[in-house]
Amino acid sequence: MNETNSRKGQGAAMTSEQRNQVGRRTFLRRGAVVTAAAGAGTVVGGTLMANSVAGRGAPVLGQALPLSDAIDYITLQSVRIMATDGFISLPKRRHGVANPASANPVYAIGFRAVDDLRTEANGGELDWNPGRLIEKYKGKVMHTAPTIVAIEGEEMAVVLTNLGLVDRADLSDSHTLHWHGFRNATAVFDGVPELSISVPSGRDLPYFFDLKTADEPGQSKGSAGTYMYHCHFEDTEHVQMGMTGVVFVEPRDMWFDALGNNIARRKVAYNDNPAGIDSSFDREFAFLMNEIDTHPHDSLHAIQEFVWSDYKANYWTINGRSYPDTVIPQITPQESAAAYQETLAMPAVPTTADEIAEAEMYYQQNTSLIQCRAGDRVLLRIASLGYEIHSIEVAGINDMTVIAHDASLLMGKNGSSDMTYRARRIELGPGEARDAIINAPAYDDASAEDDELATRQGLTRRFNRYLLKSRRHDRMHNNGSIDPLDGVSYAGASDTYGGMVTEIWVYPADTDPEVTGLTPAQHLLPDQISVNETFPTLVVPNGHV
Amino acid sequence: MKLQLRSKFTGLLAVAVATSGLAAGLSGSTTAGAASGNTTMICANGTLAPDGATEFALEARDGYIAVPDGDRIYTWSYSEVGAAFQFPGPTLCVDEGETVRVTFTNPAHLNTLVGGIPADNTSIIFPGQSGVVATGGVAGLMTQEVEANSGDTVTYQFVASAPGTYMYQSGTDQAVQVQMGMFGGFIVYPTAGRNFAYPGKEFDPENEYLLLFHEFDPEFHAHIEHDSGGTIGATGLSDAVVLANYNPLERHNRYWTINGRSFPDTIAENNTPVLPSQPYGSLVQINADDPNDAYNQLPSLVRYGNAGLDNHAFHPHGNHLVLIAQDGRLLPDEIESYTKTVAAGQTFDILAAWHDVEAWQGSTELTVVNFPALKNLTYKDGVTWYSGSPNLGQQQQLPSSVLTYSACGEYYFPWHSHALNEVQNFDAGFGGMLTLWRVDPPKVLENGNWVSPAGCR
Repeated sequence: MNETNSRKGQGAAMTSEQRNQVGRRTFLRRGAVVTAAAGAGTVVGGTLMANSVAGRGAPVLGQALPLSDAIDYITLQSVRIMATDGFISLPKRRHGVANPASANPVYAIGFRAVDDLRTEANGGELDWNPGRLIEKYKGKVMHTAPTIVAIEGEEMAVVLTNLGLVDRADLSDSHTLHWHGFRNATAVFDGVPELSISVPSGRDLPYFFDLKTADEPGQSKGSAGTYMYHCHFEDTEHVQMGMTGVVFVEPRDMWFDALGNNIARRKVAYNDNPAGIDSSFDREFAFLMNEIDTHPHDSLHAIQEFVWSDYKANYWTINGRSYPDTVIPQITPQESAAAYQETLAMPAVPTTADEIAEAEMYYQQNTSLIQCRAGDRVLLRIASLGYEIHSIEVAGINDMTVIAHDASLLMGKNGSSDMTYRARRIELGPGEARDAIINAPAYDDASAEDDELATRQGLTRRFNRYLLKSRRHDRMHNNGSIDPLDGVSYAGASDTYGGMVTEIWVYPADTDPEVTGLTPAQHLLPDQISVNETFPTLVVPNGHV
Repeated sequence: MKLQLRSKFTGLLAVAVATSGLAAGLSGSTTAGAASGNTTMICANGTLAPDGATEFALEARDGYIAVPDGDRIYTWSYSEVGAAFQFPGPTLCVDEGETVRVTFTNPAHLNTLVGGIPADNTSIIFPGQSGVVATGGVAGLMTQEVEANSGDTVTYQFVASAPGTYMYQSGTDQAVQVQMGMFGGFIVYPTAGRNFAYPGKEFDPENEYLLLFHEFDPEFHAHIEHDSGGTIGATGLSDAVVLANYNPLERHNRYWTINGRSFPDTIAENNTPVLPSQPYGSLVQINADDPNDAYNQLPSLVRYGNAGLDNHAFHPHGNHLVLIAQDGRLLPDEIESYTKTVAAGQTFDILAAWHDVEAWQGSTELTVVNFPALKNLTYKDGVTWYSGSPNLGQQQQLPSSVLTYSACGEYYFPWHSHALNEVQNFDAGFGGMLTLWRVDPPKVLENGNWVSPAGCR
């Protein structure tokens, strides 16, 4: 039995001492932990993945595993993603938090994460009770989908649970999970319903991914990099309806030394390479570009046919939001709120304008606000699951290097060519991804403005504002215009732009990275952990320098 | 809403016809036939002229092509003299250093349909080729043209000086003529041989594929077909007549094609009788690389050419691609990617390999995740390319109501435009600019030859 085969049969967990004694590749092969198994064809929420690790009330999954604790180290990373429907908020198509009479949100289908459901009644175990999952999550779409983070060299399972649809209960649509860009796929886990299988309403399926390293057989490179995932069932419809998210893989060198020993997290996007390409960063952010044509959304909700060759976008989004919504911070539902615990219903009606804006983003949790300090190397993971080609520019910052295309460091066939390039914009086709690093410019107090998020906390903090946006100015609007009276003028964001625009806030280089006090709208954001949070050593959640 | 409700899956019929002899029976399910016909690039190799030149004789033609929802579209194209109408034009293949001579005519008597080629000047240009000498005909904006109704012959001659993937197309009234279909592939092999794309870039010559992209607004073609304005023949179909009835600003594509076919027709074999005017398939095929390196499978070569007006982002499932060249010129180094946007008029050369790194073939068991019973999953429309087994080269019984196209447990992956509004046939999904990548198990040694396992391709 060769190494490859042995991996699938052995489940013995190793101590850190044992792990350190074996070579890196052998460790990978022997380290697998087989899941605790429920019966075949488990229903929703069975104990299929008893040792699953889900984010603690935050849509960050698979990250922050206890890698430094080798004894409890679980090699099989697993997360559960649920598919269901719901409504999202776009400018001029609001939930109506401020004015319920004007509610007209956009119907969507999407993926959503399972929050940490450890309960006392369940002995501290995760509660996968199917009725509870349906009660809590069905009809509570999330767009864009949770950002999934995995680690190169590890195996991973993503369990897809199809909760069914609330508003189109007549539809029996199945769903799949397609890891867009995954190499060495096997058809059964590739998530194309015509070419393998799909998951009917009320059932689930684990998708298995082995994130190869470069030194395994048949590999030209490792798995690190930026990818996407989406549903492939009736793909034109389901992707447009919102079943899209980012998944990225952290390189082996971030977590291990050459001998396979755990190390303190090195913030690099790719492994060290002969070409000498520097992929180190101080902060990283993930962006999924999309467009939305509200017509098929409305048609689907109204049980009407839509001719997909009539597709014509009228909103352009980053992480599922259209400017100025893009700068609203990460939304983390409040676990302690009784209402949320039970039904994910929105908390008490907020009062301030910013609270209203945050509440409107309740089902679009992923922010794309970039906050950094002068001099920071800021990693932008930019991916697109729209149907149009985008030209993305960082306006005002002229120091950007594109280091990777499509999860491939630009290092040539043998890893020895530095093919990275300086650029002022990124051209991004549908299904493409780029990793780029910008060097945050020096702070200039003369042109700085007050940070209203800080002001709200009684603090004084100032930053320089830059834009990351589409160069296609015809995509910088919200369905044809900008409505400053939309109720979502947020934290000083301009009301003269819309669409595919977000902001970069550059603070002074000496800004205390330990400051964590900025938690706007306490009732919504008590436990601020961002999808883009990347400061385990600095303890600074993204968006709150 | 479209009203045509004829055969929705012409291509599937074609596949079934093409491969009915290969289908492997599976108890509990019916096997109609896998996608397995020959879809490799077909070369027109021309003839050797007395002076040593490689000579091609082309003529302008018109005819109809089929789209999967049962509609047909009136098109123009190039054909070899004496051959049937085909779309796109024949793929011309030459070797580096050869003198190439293309003679071109527009014989009105061959064009029996209602359209306009006989009344238009027309020509051929060879983007990417240097020193093209055109003789005969009349001078046009870009090259010598065959004058309408003249019976002229124009000759284009040049030395194929740089290996690579190119296209040829009309150099006359391009907004009309190229959209109507006047384009084809032009391939120059390096002196190293026809198993090389460029010096040092070897591939498996059994797995060489050409994917030419194009898109259609059927209204435009209908205008060309019907809006003669009573001027067909003597005065010809002028731009003014066409544009008076069709506003190019309102171009609204409904069909997206690879080699003139939309999925599922794309995976039907070359020269399928079901698509008599669209001879070129685009099913990309390969045998997996053996995980133990017992057999070192050379990569497949996939040549992209975008003959359309829109840029198309092409995405294979299953593995990343290795880009080696752009517009017939080697890149400084290889670049891997999982999606590549191909601009209008652009070509790319791509090496595609598939490594069975998980040793999915053979007896490897899927124990790492707990797999549900197959009966508890969905098989879209009751038809699947899935074999029932996660393992490469193995088959398992599917629920009794499910039809499978699996021949031997091969894998299928989509290879498609990720502008998903383009994987539509007007209003029907899983169509359009999409083809499949068929991955068969690694070859095995049999009587001294490496062959696909029994039942496989």
